[in-house]
Amino acid sequence: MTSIEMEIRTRLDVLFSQYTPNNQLTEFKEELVADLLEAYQDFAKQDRSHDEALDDAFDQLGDIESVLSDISQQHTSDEHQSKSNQNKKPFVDFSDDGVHIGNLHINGKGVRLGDDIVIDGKNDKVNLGDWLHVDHDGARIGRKYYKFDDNDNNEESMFDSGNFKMPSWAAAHHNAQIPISTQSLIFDYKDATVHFYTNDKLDLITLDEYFSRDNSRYFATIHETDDHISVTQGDSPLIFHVRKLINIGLPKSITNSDITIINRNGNILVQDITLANFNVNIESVNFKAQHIQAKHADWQAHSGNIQADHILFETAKIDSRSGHTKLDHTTINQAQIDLSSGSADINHFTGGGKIKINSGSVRLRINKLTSDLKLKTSSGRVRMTTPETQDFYFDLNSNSGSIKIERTDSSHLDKDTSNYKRGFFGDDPRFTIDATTNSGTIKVY
Amino acid sequence: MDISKDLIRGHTDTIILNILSQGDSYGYQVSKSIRSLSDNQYSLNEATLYTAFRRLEKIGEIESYWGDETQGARRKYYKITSSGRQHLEAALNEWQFAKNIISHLISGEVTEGDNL
Repeated sequence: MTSIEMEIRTRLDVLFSQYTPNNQLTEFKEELVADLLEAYQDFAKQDRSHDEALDDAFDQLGDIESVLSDISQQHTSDEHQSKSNQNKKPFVDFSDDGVHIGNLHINGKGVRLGDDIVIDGKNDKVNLGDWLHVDHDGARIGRKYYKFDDNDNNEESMFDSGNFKMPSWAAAHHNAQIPISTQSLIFDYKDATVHFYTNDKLDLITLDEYFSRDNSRYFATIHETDDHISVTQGDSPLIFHVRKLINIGLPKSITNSDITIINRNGNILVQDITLANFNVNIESVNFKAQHIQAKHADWQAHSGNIQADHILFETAKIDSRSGHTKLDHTTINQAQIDLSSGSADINHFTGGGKIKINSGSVRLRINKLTSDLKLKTSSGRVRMTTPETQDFYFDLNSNSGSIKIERTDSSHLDKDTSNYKRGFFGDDPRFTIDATTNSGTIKVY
Repeated sequence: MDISKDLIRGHTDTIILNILSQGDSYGYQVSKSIRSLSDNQYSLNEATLYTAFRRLEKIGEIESYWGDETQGARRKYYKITSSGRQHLEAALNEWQFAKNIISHLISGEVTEGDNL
């Protein structure tokens, strides 16, 4: 297998990993491998780099995820039908002898799946033939080994399902309710995993803190003045680590309030919140935000990851230093995005403003412009998909790098040299995309 | 100018059947054929193409089989069936019939005598 094929397979694995495997999906994956390989070879003839060709090959696939969910759903419904037709003995059977669910048997001897022993009196591990071995430390599937970490993966999935239960490791639960009016809110958690969501209260913040050991000095302190309420993380012992998980429910009346989130080395997840000002100040944090609306957002991130989906800001200032920033379904009417030596992936972008990149690379897919857009990079690489159904002016300038326009439809060029291109697309342009690079490259699709 | 997606959408199946009626082919090649037939004015992304393949295969207008490439990954080829050919022929007739009428309807000038 060539290394390109390997890379294509790895990328596909990520795409496919969200779906339960079935024959049709496996066949579809093989079909895609062949097509992507050939697409890659075509792009490799014209693209500058191997990565670019690979990105382009995957780009031209389109919305492959809807095909995947189609195939996996159809398969499940087919399966249900065939099963209900050919049920001879009951699929689920409980008796004194044991429990049988399909070919899963649980009885006094242990747990068996088909002919393979999964767990019995001697072993508390899973062995399925040669290909799957699971024990306390990790799982080996084929030749891949996954080590289990006891960090925050479970909490994240719990958060996604909106199911806030007490974690199994918790030895202490501290909860508080804080009434709010119009004060601004500050949440300062040094290194914890913190989840923000909208609760069902009118004007109460609900605070739930879980700790792996019980000591009231770990609990957060709440400080209130006329203009702000601050919640600050309690003591965190240095020698014996205390595991903690914080759930913060914000009331619906939060829409006119300002929130500031401060964190170092933790995990932050924010979901389904509408508010006035949304400030974030983080360092080495995994920051994830979904379905957020605000008049203004001010995000400062240092060497962490930002991942946001379905966000709607009137104005936003996003500063990210040496981290990765991924924004999807983003609407920012006036954006000011400043990246130094990180990379950014901005999809389904609606809006305008300024994007500045020092030495990182940016992949920008624009749905719609609502004002002018200025892109500036010193040595980074810009790849930009321009709006499909909207006309616009462009002004692209490179000092010592290069500019390439891949779009072939109805463009009008006033200036066209290898490092300066100016003109417009369509008949009725309103806004301008202005991109400059010093030594980097700009590619327009 | 781009061709309007609304205009062309109803013809996706016919486009694919037309290409397959001229020889068995696979996803990426079909998408390249579409690009070259339209002089680079139109392209179908592969997601749309695969969805159409699956639909056509389900209703029996195309069939698929795996190629026997000795190098690289194996390709899945699609082949038009006789029921697919019938569909293509019917769609072509419909189009020949409709295109003149539509063109008259959207660009023709109404003269006195037409107002009965």
